[in-house]
Amino acid sequence: MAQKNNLSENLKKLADISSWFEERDDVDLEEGLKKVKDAAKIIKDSKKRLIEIENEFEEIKKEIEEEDDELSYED
Amino acid sequence: MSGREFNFENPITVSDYISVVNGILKKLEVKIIGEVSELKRAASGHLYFSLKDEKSGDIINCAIWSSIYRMCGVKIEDGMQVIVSGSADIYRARGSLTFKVKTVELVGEGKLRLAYEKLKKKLTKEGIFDESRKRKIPLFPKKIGVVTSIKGAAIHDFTNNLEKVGLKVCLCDSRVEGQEAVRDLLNAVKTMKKRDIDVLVIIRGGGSLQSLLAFDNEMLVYEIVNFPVPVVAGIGHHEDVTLAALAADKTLSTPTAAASYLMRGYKRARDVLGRYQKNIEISYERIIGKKRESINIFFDKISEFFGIIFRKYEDNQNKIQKNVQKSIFLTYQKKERVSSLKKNILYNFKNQIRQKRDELNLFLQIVKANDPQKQLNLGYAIIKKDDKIVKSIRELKKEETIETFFFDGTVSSKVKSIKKIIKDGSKK
Repeated sequence: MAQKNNLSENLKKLADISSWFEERDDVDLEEGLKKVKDAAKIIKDSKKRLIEIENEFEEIKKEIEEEDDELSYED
Repeated sequence: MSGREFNFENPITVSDYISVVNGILKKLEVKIIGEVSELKRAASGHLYFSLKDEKSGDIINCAIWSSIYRMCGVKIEDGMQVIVSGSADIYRARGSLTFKVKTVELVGEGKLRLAYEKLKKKLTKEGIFDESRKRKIPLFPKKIGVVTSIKGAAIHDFTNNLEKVGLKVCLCDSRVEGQEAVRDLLNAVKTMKKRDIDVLVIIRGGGSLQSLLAFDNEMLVYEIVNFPVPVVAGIGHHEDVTLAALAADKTLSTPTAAASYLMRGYKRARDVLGRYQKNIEISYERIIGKKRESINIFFDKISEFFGIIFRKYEDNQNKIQKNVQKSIFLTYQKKERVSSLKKNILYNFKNQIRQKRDELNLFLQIVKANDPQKQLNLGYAIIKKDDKIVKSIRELKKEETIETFFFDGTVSSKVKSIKKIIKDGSKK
């Protein structure tokens, strides 16, 4: 099953699944289907996490830009 | 006592009168121009001289205390044209009027310049202006001490060019114009010594040699040199840079430039931070893009593999379907064959039965035809011995018991005689 949080781990898992298919001339259908289902779940979670990361990154950028405007000095 | 408290209609004492006059004179702070003469220096260091009006020859006695004289930075000599500022008072013991000098300045651009050059030479010889003596100005000063006039434009020029980075600016007000500014500047610098600052900044706008006199003052130079933290001068200059500016650890030509210089570290940091921020943002966006691309590539690969699996399923399904159809067809064929065979068998069988029936009927007819009962009915008889049919006389002997079957019953008898039939029909 796909973990919610770690994008790198998920990508590693996808790479492993991809290699599994590539290494085989003949794929066991049941096993293959299970792998495909796992991969689909991982891809879905990864895309979701990527969107979360992008949003967090945009928030951080916004905060930095707002801080630049708010900086003041004391007499 | 002031004059207002007195009723001058009545006589007053000498002392009171002197007090009244001194009270008035104290308020009369003026600048007087004249020529120095009869200069005397007391053991205490105080100077006494006369100031003569060149045109009229009128004289006024002057006195300058040693501390003030040291501060003023001018070497008073007989014959020197000077401007003195201060006020007069009457010395009670003698009843003489003396002008108490607060500041002294030379008269004439030429004289001022000479004095400037002379002092500059002296200080240069002492190594005051050597670069090796100069201290580094902090890159990120947080607490800045400023000496300038709060009424001037310099302070605004300076503060407007400071970065908004949480600086603490400590301002000490001082006159910055003319010789009178020397005392204020010295006091301000001394006050700043007690403050917790990272750097001292002395600023004013440009001006003439005369207006910038205070900044060519020797005492001020030494104060700057001996100041506990680095000193930045943002002093506009006359033809030459003022001695205070030369003595400072860093000199800039304007208050704006001084502020800019102090903020150089912050600006550089801001630029660097900005660049790093941009680089990091771009790099991180690139990483996000790459990850997205990886996910999409995996998605395409997985879809392809999925497609392959489905195609395999379909292939197998098709194969199975074909096989099933073939099986159905073969089954049908076999069924047809079986049906056909069945028909053949049945038909043959029926024929066989019919044949056999016919054969049976034939046999039946033969049997019927050969039925011994029929012979018996014709008058023939069947002879049995021991329940066996006797077909020949050879089977019999005399006196044997035989059974003779007639169509309507049976006779038991004994053989009496046997006669064989010879071929010509006679018996023997």
